[in-house]
Amino acid sequence: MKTRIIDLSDLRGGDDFPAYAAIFSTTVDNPFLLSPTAMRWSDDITLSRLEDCRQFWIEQKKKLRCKLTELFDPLLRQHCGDDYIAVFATHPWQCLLYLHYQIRQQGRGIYLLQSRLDQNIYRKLDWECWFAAQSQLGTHLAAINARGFEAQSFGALQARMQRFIQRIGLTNTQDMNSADANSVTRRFGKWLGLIWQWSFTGSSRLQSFPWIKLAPERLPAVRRELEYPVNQWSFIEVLLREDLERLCTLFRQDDCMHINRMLWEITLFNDQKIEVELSFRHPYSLHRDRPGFDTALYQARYIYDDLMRKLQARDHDLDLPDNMPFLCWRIEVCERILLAPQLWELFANESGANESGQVDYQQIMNLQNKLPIAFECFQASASFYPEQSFARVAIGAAPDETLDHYAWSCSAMNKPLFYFYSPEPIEKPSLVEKIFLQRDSGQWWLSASTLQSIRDYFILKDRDGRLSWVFRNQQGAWFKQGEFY
Amino acid sequence: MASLPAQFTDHSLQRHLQSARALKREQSAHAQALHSGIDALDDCFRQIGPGDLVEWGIPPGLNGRLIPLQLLKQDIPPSVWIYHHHGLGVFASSWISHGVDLQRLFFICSGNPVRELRPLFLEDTFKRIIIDAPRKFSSGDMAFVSQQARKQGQIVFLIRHFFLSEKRGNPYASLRINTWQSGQHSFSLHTIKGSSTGRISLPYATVAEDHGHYN
Repeated sequence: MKTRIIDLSDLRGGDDFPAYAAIFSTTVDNPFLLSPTAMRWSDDITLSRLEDCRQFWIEQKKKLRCKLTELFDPLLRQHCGDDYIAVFATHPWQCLLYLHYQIRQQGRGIYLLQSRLDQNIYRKLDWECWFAAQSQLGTHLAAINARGFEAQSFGALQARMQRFIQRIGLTNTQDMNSADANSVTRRFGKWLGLIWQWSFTGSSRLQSFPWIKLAPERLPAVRRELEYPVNQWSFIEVLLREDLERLCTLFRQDDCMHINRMLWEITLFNDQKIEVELSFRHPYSLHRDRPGFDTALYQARYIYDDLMRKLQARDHDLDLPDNMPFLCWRIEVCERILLAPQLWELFANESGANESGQVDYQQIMNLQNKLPIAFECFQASASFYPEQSFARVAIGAAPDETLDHYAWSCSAMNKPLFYFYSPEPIEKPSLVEKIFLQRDSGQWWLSASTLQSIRDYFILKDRDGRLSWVFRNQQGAWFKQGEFY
Repeated sequence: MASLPAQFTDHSLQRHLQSARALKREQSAHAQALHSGIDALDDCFRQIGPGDLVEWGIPPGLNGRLIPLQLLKQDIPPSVWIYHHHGLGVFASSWISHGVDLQRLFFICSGNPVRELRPLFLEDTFKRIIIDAPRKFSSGDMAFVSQQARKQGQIVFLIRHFFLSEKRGNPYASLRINTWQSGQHSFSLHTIKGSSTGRISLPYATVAEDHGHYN
């Protein structure tokens, strides 16, 4: 009999990805650790809006095949030390409230408020905790000149609410769970009503929460003034390599830090300024590519070739050199991300193990960063319709273990290795040999006419003996779907 | 008459060469680099090892690519198939149905692979590189690819979209072979250059599942 382990600290559902995080640490060196949108709540507490990079973290989680706690813990440890406390929840106030409780309890590590265990504790938080967490809130509301907020009257309303709770003998917030935000507002004012609403909301909308966005960090940039105009790639390459080395020294050489995009602003011989982007398909570690910086230089080379081609096409009737010389340029890191240590260490010790059967995905990703074209990777999908029987996936994507790939692809056994993205209409074949393969009725519930989705598939052999994969629809029109290359 | 430099007339060198050849034979007996599980096909590729370039003649429409595919089924190292067929994409389910592990075989579309994908040939990330009917592939490209394959111990398949002939040779290829589906029940292989030349036939059922009869 199969046993199922219920992990109390695990999330309840697949969609419960937290929208915010509150991190308590005395040594936070980077407030943008989890998201580019952050707020400094106090000296020791930082709020991060994960919603802005939700897809990125979901992808990382999928890639590592781990839980959220396992994904974030090494990253937080690396940047905040071992004694950090991080609370993940739907609303920033919920993060702060539960963080306050965990600080008081001398907790440590990650707490997901959507998990069963933490949700139960949260519901039964005592009033002391609920009121104590509000002390910093008043400062922020005053700082942003929140409409209708006055520190003194807010204090008075808090005292009134505390007296009320004492009088009727409520021990924790759950005892008052039947009260809605409107009734709290009527009795104790707008702000306590809002706090009550934030505490139990299931929505990630801020709802007047005083979010003061921290100014984005300034990313490093280097500038090169050329002593004389340069237009040959061999010279540009040498100078760019020097600039990347300079950029590397300005950038923190941390393995967590990876670059997504760099901006290359070029001033041409005719004083025209052109901005081009060096973008990397997979996060790129600049200092790990030292001293050659092959990856960045390959990307710069593709951009240079493309730029020269465009400029030549534009200026072909002008008396200008074939390759437009550069006068100066500026390189700036415009997007960077912090990866969990497991992600950059994941395949590190498998390098060179190709012949032994290991697939070094990291090496393949690094190679892909140097190429102008992406690799295509595929996986089988559970569908009988030819076009939907497979899907393009990212390099190293975990296969769906529940899917019997071979069984699902069996129907493709007699089909060609390459197919037309859009089937080509052909004339009705005459006097040729053909083999009937199958009849597919596509997703008939999606089309207006049921008959239109029915296709009869054949292998067709023409007079020259060439084989092709064709189908006939119910109107009798023939289409070529693939070639037996 | 040309004369040999003194250092190459040394008999000990000849002995070294003989022992090296014997060692190579011994190694190949232990592990064949390309293995399909089809005896007749494996015999053709017995001598092929890391650093070799195999040239295939497979005109379109003759289903001949199923033969090189047989050599990419069993425990292959990371490999890449560079294709360039106008308007065509990879029909992945068909590859999976033939037993190819798509976790190890990657695809990339390029008509001029040496120019467009140069970094791919400069690294040993992929131990098998299949260049399928490139639009541009000069003899200089061939020299570069075979040199890199030797340097990095890769096996390169170069698939041509025409039948190869004995009239025009290829000094870089260790094996030159034409393959096609002949009739409904067999595949034909014609080795033009290799350890043994000649034509062999493989029953259709050894390569793929029989699909029925023409009408």
